[in-house]
Amino acid sequence: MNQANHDISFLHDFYKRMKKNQVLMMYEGEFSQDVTKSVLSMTENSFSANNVDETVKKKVYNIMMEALQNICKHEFKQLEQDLPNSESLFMISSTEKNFHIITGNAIEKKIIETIKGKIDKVNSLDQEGLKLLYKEARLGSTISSVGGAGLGFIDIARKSGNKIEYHFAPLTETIFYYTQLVTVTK
Amino acid sequence: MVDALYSSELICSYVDFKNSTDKHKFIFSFRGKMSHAVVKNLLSMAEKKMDVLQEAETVKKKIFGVMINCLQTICSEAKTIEDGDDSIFLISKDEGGFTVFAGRNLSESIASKLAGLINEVNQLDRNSLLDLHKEKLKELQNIGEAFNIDETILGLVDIAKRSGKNINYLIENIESDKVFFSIKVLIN
Repeated sequence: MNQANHDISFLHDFYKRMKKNQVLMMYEGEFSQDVTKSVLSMTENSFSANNVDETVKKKVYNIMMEALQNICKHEFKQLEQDLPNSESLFMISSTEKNFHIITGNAIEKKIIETIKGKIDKVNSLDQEGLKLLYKEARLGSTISSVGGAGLGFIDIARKSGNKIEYHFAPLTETIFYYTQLVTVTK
Repeated sequence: MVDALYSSELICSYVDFKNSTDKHKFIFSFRGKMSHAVVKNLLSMAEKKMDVLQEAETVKKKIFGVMINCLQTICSEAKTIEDGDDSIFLISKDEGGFTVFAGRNLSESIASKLAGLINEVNQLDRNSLLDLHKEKLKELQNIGEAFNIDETILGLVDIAKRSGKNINYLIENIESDKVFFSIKVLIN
């Protein structure tokens, strides 16, 4: 039995750390369609309780959907049962000025460059550039230049108006944990 | 092994936070105000998670019952002592089973009452718990208040019945007349 898990004294400390990082909610595990729906609905209710502006709410909601879809698309499921700390993650935090939407999942090392390339590309563009890239990607004319259509990342960048942050940490020689952070200004 | 590749210090702080929670094997956690809608969503999320984990109906029922009672007993809005005070609720799973945790700031007097009731419940065997449950249910029919001590003991008895184990709690002082109250229930 994992003793650490059954010690009650960590709870207050964890509560304080959640508060310090301003984390409102964290979910780890498989993202079925039903779980995704519940996570979205939970966030929506949390917003209603905190009088969040409708436009911001809509942005966060849409970005969450995209980010959660990306988890389903890219997560490396085969090893999830056996590899420690590789479960997919959703976390949302609320600071004074921003909401941070944090997602994480295990991926194969070989797709890191593709993901990084897509993000670096959208991060280098302004709103007008993103709009053009989105149109082109939808028409399918620039698939190779963005390393796949990358519509999800373009859409996230357009809606958030901020850079997409990434973190790739090795779990094994060939599997990495990919964390993504999107900021929505309140 | 190669180092991590990242784009900002901000994301690293969240990765550090996530890494610090890994040893606890949480399946989900929530911090915030426990409105009726939030409680409903937490329950729905737990249900979906149990479906994904393919847990037996009996285990699901136990967890559901313990969750509802923990949320009502510890996190209820009626116990708020200060604006901005929120609750924490989480569930972890390891080879020993599921563990439900709930915690929040409470006034010292409410925390002492709760602790007294938990001690009382922890001393009872299964048959005594069943008898007390019946008795309190009868009494409750005559009580109209939204929150009272009889309702709390009913919730605690239900938790003890469903988990079959002692309810663990911890009170930590924060400031004068304010404590952090934690509760932990193991279900296996």
